[in-house]
Amino acid sequence: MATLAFQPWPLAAPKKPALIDILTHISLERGHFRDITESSLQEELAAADGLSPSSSDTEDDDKETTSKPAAKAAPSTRQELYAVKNDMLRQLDEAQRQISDAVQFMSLLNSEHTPAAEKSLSKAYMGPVQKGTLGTDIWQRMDPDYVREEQDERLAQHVKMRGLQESADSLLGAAKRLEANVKRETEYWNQMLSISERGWNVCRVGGRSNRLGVRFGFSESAGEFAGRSVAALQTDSEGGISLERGVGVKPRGLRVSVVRGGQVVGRSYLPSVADSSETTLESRIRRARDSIFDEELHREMLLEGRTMAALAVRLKGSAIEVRYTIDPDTPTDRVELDLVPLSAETGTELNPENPDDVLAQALALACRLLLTQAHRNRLKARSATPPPLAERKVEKPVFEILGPIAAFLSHNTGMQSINAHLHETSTLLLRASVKSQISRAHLGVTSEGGLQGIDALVATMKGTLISTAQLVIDGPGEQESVMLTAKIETSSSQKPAYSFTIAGQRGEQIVCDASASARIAADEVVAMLLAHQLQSQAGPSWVCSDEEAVLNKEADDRDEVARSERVEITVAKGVITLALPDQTLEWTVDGNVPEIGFWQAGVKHLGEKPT
Amino acid sequence: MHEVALFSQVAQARHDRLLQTLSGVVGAQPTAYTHQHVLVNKDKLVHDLHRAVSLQQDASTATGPWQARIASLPEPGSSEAIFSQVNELSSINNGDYENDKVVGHHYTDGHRFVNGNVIITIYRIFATNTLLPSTSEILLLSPPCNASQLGHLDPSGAYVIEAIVRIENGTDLKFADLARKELFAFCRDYLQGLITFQVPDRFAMDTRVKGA
Repeated sequence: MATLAFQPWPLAAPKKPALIDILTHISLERGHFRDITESSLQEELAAADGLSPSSSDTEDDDKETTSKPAAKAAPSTRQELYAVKNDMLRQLDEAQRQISDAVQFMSLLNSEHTPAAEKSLSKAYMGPVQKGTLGTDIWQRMDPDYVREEQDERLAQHVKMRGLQESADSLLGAAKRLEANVKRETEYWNQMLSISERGWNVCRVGGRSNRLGVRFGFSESAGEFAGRSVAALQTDSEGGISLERGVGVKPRGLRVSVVRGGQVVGRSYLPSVADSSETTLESRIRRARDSIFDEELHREMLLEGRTMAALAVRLKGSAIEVRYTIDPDTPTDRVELDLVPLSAETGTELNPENPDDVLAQALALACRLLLTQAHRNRLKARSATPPPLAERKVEKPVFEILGPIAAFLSHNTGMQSINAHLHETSTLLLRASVKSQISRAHLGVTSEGGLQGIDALVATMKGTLISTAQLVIDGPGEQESVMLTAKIETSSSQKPAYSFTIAGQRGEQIVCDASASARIAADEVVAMLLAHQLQSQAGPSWVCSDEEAVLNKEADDRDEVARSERVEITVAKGVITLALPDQTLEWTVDGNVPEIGFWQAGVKHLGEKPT
Repeated sequence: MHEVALFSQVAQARHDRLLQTLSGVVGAQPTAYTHQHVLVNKDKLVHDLHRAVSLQQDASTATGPWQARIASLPEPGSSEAIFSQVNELSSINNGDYENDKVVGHHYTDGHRFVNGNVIITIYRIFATNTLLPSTSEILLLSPPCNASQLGHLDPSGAYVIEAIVRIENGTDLKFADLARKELFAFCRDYLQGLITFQVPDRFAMDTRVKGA
């Protein structure tokens, strides 16, 4: 056998033959690697150099000699054959793995110096590790350097301390951040509690649970207001909560103004709003809710006003004008309902002394009340059992807000005019020495059907408003008094919208639809009542006509004074006229009056009734 | 008139929570629904005469007139909902039912929700412990039983849930479809997870049917 000389690893990396050549050379010389073990190589060396084999080799030898005969024995059974085959395969696998480990390791080691070594690095094995990451150094044996070691020790200590300090710093930083977070969260939840404890409904917005919002609208609003009823709550860096942009920023309110003769004489109350950033979250939400309520109210009244042009409702810009009555008497008296942006300048306070202020405020409150009632009705309609599905057109009902307001205004005017007229008539009658009493017309809250409180008020507003005034004229002497009744009816839903009914004692009624004609009718009825009274006092054969205030005396054959006489009573334009056949007596409020009273004049002429 | 109906059940422990959730979903409070039912057999159909009552411990009162509901057998062929023809009268003459046999007398007590066209009723049935009279006259004329005389029909106290959409003319396919669509959209899709509606098997408790 040829001796194989191992060269020491050359430091100067000469060109050495490729590994594969060496391996081929060895296999040619010695056969397969299977037969080469460390001990056999050592033996050869010992045989060549005369060195004694090491003690470990002897053990290996022993093992080898013992294992050799075992290896040489052919497996007898098939099972043993398979067992041996498996064993062999396992050992081959093991060897292959170890060899590839060694190859990878050496390639990695060499990759820094020899670029060619990269080829034997397998990506799957050493993929993430880049070339040149493993380095080698050749160290000579050195004496322990105590100074150096101490320095190293101190360096290590410093590095450790710095590491500890850094971790301490980062912990402190984390603690500070945590504290800031806690403060922010506390602030946030405090504010959230403050609004939810006041009853505001806090809910999720945006579908998924990423943001909270507050619901400040009304559940029965329709149309665009239904979408505007929720505002998301945004947090800022301090944990403070603010409403999202655009909500509650420009609050608006409804203002009712009473206009007389072109001048604004009364106004309803509007809060003057301070700067929005100064108020609390809860008050901002409340202001947003008030604003959206008034905006919806205005919208509904606009829609309703468009259908009410016949009732003297005009729309001027965004303001709704409701005239007092359809009468052309007072064309410039009206009530304006307008949506006004709230700011520090437009706030108005109420003056309780001013009756027009009180009227304006009452109308504003009435509008709002009617809107809440409309919401309630809508809820009730929604909860009622629906009719079965059929081909039916669903009409969208318009809220009744402006209707009752307009009805009330015209009713009020009607009442005032009737009351004034009766008062004038009473004064006039007094000038003619005729006593009378008035009971004025007024409007009360009817509570039919067991309704109480607000329900009764709203039912009265929506129904037909009825008021009655009475004028009781005392007869002469101990005669019974006769009564004139004036009834004013105003309805917001039926046609004709309003009517005056004047009725006398006998029950005949005159129906008018304007206050001027009502006054004339009232005068006529007063005249007729006076005529009837006179007739009851008069002598025989005086007959009072049923339709006119005229007393006729038929011509009598037996009487010397054989002629028919006619006495007519007229009440008109502030004058009572008694037209006797021979003279005409007039009584007025301002001018001179005859010295004789009405009854005396009448009785004197007509003669006493025989008792 | 036709009705499309789905049914379900809820245990007593969950009932209050269910009412609250449904109120939130529908956006309105439930309306109380307490009725006395007298079932009479007339013209081969069962007439359900019912009236609203107010059940008290000692003196119940009737708060509404007698009404009649005559439901025919459900129409076959619809496996997803019960589709039946129903006739409802809002007032009846007692004399019409004088000679008809009484087959049942019970009280239902519960609440009702309305969402669009879907009517959801959640109720429990109470049975009287007296014998049924043979004619309906006595029952129709006398006041309703006191609450102390009533017992639960289902001892577990579970509630029945009914979801109904009514159609004026059931033979019109367009409206029948619309009703079904609305019912399924609300009951199956929107309330999914809250209540599981199903079509109950009519023959489940009927002893005359083989194999049930």
